[in-house]
Amino acid sequence: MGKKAELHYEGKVYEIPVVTGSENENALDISKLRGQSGLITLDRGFKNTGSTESAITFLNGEEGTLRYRGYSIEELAEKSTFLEVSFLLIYGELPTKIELDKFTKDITEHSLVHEDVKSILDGYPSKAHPMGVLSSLVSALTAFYPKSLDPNRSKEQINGTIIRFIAKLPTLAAWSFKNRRRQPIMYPKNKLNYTSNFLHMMFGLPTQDTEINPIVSKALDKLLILHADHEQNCSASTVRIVGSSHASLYASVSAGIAALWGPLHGGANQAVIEMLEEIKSDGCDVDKYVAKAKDKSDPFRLMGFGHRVYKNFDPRATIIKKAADDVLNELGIEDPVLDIAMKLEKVALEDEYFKSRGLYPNVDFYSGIIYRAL
Amino acid sequence: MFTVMFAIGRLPGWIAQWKEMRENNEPIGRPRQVYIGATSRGYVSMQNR
Repeated sequence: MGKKAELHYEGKVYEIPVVTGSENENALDISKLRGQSGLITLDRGFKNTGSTESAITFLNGEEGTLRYRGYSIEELAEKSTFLEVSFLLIYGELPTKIELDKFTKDITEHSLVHEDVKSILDGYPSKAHPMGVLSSLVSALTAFYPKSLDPNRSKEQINGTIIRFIAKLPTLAAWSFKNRRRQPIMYPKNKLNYTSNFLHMMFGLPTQDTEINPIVSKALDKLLILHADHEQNCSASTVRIVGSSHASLYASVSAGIAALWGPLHGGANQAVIEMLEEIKSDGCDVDKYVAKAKDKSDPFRLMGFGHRVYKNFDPRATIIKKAADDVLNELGIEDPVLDIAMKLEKVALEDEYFKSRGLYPNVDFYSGIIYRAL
Repeated sequence: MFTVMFAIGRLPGWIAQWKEMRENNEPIGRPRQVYIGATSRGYVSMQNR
């Protein structure tokens, strides 16, 4: 017999089955509630609502646990690569060598995008935000691959779309970024690995041979692993709900990119950099801003500290701090903005006010630093 | 601006979530609401507003 809860309402008792997940999390299954009682539940922002039963990612915010398909984020970041983690997330198991070699080869061979994509890109003003450009270029892929719109395709055909998508997104992302900089686009170089190829397309120029620093590439690869999934967050929920209408994978992810664009979601690391630049332009006085952050009547908010889900620490932040240190040491950059970041980090890790409130430097803080250093 | 890198990182997660949803034949997402707006009322002609 499964567990049950009872709801007493207006003299009647309704039995509500309890569903238990593999990590012993319990949920009230209310799928029959409206039919039986006429009641629905109200849960703004879905903070107490499971939208699905999922076997992909396990997250425990109280304990700071994050696992993809059962494997801890710490172990994956240390031992795996972004493409291997991608395979794990999508197909459910770690690949054999043969499987990973084929997956990598297929992705590498599809890195080019159709030449006509360039004419769409040319239509954008340079002021266009790269996330808006990326979202629409991804949506435009449906025009180049119209068969992807058919909801009744075979597993093999869907897999073809998945491979193409992983292959082409770095190209589209780098081109969106180049458009903003008014620099010529760079074509993918298939002799480079996935992450190095992306760095080449982002920062390379046709006038010179840009060497990709392997330490920087490795740090970015770790960063991608840390960001690879976070269960039913805003953008993933968006992707699922758009896809639930049988919209194509490209269309669903295009909507996910739009969700990620928002400053409360993917824009948080940019907000960290903007905050650091504000402190710099005001004379680099970190103590003043720490005092402002503690002052409840002051509207200033420290960006990149604490996390809504992870109450005590963010397991990703520990890993990424090391990656950020590696990048800064390797590149030897002198940048007052990064000095401010280091001072703020020290305060947050040592000051009782921040410690007692769980305001530790989070993954956005360190990824903001890495992005700045690149 | 660097949010595009975040998007590259998150792509396998989005694909995995989309694929799981489709393979489980999940129904179309359609939440309900508690309506708190005006109750039934008649159309008011322009000169009477």
